[in-house]
Amino acid sequence: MEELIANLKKQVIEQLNLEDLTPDDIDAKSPLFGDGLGLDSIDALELIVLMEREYGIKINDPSEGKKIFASLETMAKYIQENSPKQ
Amino acid sequence: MTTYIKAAQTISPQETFPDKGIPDTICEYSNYLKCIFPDFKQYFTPLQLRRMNTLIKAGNVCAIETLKEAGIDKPDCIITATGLGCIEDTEKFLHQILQTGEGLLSPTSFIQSTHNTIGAQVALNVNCKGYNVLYAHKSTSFENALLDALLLIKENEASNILVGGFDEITNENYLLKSSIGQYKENCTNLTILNTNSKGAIAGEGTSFFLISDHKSAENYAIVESVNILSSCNSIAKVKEWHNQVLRKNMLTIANIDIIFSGINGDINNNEIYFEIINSVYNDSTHAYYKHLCGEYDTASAFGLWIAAKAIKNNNLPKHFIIKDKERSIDNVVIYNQDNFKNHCLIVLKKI
Amino acid sequence: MTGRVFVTGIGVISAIGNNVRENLDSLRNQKSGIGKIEILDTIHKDEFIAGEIKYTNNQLSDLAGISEGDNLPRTSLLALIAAKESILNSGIDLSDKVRTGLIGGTTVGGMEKTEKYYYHPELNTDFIKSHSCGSITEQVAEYIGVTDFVSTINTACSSAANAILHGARLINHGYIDRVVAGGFDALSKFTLNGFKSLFILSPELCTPFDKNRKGLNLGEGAGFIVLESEELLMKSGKKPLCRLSGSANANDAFHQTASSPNGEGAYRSMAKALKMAGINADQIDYINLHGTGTDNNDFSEAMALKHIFGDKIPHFSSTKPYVGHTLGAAGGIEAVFSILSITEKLIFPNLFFKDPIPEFGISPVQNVITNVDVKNVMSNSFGFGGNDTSLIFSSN
Repeated sequence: MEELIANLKKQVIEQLNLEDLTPDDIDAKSPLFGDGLGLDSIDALELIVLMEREYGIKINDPSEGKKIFASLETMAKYIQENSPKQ
Repeated sequence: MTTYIKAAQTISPQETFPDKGIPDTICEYSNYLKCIFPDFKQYFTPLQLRRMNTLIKAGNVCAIETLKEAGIDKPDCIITATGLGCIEDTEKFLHQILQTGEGLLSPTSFIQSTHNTIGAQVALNVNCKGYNVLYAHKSTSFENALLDALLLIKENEASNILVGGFDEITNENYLLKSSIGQYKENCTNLTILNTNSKGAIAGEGTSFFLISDHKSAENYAIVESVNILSSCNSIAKVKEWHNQVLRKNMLTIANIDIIFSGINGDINNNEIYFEIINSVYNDSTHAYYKHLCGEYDTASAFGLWIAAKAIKNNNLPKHFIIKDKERSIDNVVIYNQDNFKNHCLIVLKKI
Repeated sequence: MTGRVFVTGIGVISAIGNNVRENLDSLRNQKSGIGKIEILDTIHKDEFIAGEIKYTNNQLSDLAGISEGDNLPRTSLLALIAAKESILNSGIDLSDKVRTGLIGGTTVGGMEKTEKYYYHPELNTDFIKSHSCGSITEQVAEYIGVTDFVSTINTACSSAANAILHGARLINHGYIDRVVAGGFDALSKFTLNGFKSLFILSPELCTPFDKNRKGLNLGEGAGFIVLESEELLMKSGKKPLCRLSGSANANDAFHQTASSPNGEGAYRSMAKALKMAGINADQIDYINLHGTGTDNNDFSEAMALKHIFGDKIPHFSSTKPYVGHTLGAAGGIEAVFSILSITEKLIFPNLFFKDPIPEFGISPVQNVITNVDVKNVMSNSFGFGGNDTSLIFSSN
């Protein structure tokens, strides 16, 4: 799980073009959207791309994203439960 | 309604940003000119920067400095211009489509490829809900934006308008255009005046101006008029057009101290300028500027930055000058055309 | 602006017809042109539907009366067809000495050719010159013979509306005396995949302003109108189709693509257009919505409608279920439809609508209304980047 979260941090930084943020800057439990990291709806779509490309998980409805992408931790849990690659 | 240039900033392939004077010395480039960019991290957080490609960053930073120079938080309107928009992201999205066979695609490149995204981002950053438009018609784009600003001020629709022109060059775009002879290969920007080959020297840049009806001793110049003639391949008719424009502006050819032309290194295009200027503007100083910025659709915005500073300081370094008539700089015109299409004439006066 | 500007000609090509008469017939008969994608070569052919014009480029070239065939970008062919029709319809003679402008709005210009040959320049390099937005308008100008003033605007989905707005402004300032203004866009993999990546394409027929709307259907086409100054009109004694009484542009300044939940930008452009037209909200007889069928646009636009019209919202509908969202062409095609509403005394329905958005409880027109005295029509176009534009056409 820890390794997954560490990788996920790097992948999220790259997918969302958050240059100058390091994995240490992102807390796995903090909210990614709204008051936490401050991501928006377009970032959610980018995370959907990331999920499919890196983990083979297809999310067809962006509104599902709200729960899945609540934090890095919830993302990691979802990947563990749903990824054909894990 | 007198219209002034209240502030002017440009990010260019020379040391011009922010708040710098007209360069005395020229940075030399081979094949194409690339901008010298500021440190964008000084202006935006990582979160803001994530949604900005290079052109969006340059546009926003240039706009910020222009507003700062003008002492204005928020303009009434934002009018922008670009010939090709954000080609970096257009190429990225196109590659993604072609390489993945229309598979998994990142929306950010698509959003950032839209031409009007720069003007929109500036509006977002300064919370400007006024009139906002983007002109994207080749080499008249910037002049059309400036013309629109003049008309809005004349109507009392606005007092302070942010007007910007920007285009970028990518290696890919350069290769494509040089493959069809539109851009030159194996050249430098220092030799575009005396060229004997086809193809312009490619470049890029971002320039913004605060156009205002407020009189101030700090203003750069008066924008007297902006004139566009979209297509005319009769030299005689073009010459007559120049005369007509100046007559309308209560000027004669003899009043024009400097004519800045869009000489760009293409032999055919260069010749057109020489023919018109040598016969019509024979007592005016003939100057050029694209050796500093290269050729791109909105390069005349950079030309306006140079001209505005030249009028304000009554000085223009020698390397700009093709034919020197040693006149005091009171009335200036900036003339650009593209092989007899898109003739544009901006008329400026000292304040 | 001081002067009055009149519409003397209209031209259109869309998924519901190749010219004004065919479009009008389809509008009257509630016949949508949205269906299976057949011409655009995309792997998403079976996944999405669109308002595609069922003609190849060679066939469009024939319709345009030129022999270029597939050598010109599809966008140029569409633009030329509609521009030519509007000029014919207006009766203007472009070889006279009147100062004429041509202003086009488009989002992706010649992209249809660019994406075809980008990896195969050995087959064709014309796309390098015809890619830009401006080169399309320039090509049309060359064919129809406009040399005074040619320009192009790109403000995403409000491009054509802004082209019309700018044309009117130039006439009012005496910069030109008449203008052919509108917009054009052809379907492309670039835009289809772009909107797909934003998850705003509906796999079914779009249902603007409906509670269960699922997104937009793309479309393609071109729409142009001819505007003339009052002086020109008096000289020719021509009877205009109607008058462009209001045109206004504001920015939402909320997000790069999404519209604000309170519809502020839309409200501002509508309010400003009304002020310019010198009429009250209750004098609007019909609103041709931007109404794309996305969750976000329709909610935002509905908010703005409520803000402007209160509880007295006039007849309104989106005609995008007929032709799809034609992007850069939308403002032009919908201007033509708005003008037809006045000249034909018709109000067009919002096809496929079932249930209102619960927060507003407002329902659009659902059947064609005939023999109605339409005096003032408002046409909205709202683009990415918060570029909001509203036009008002009036019968006098």
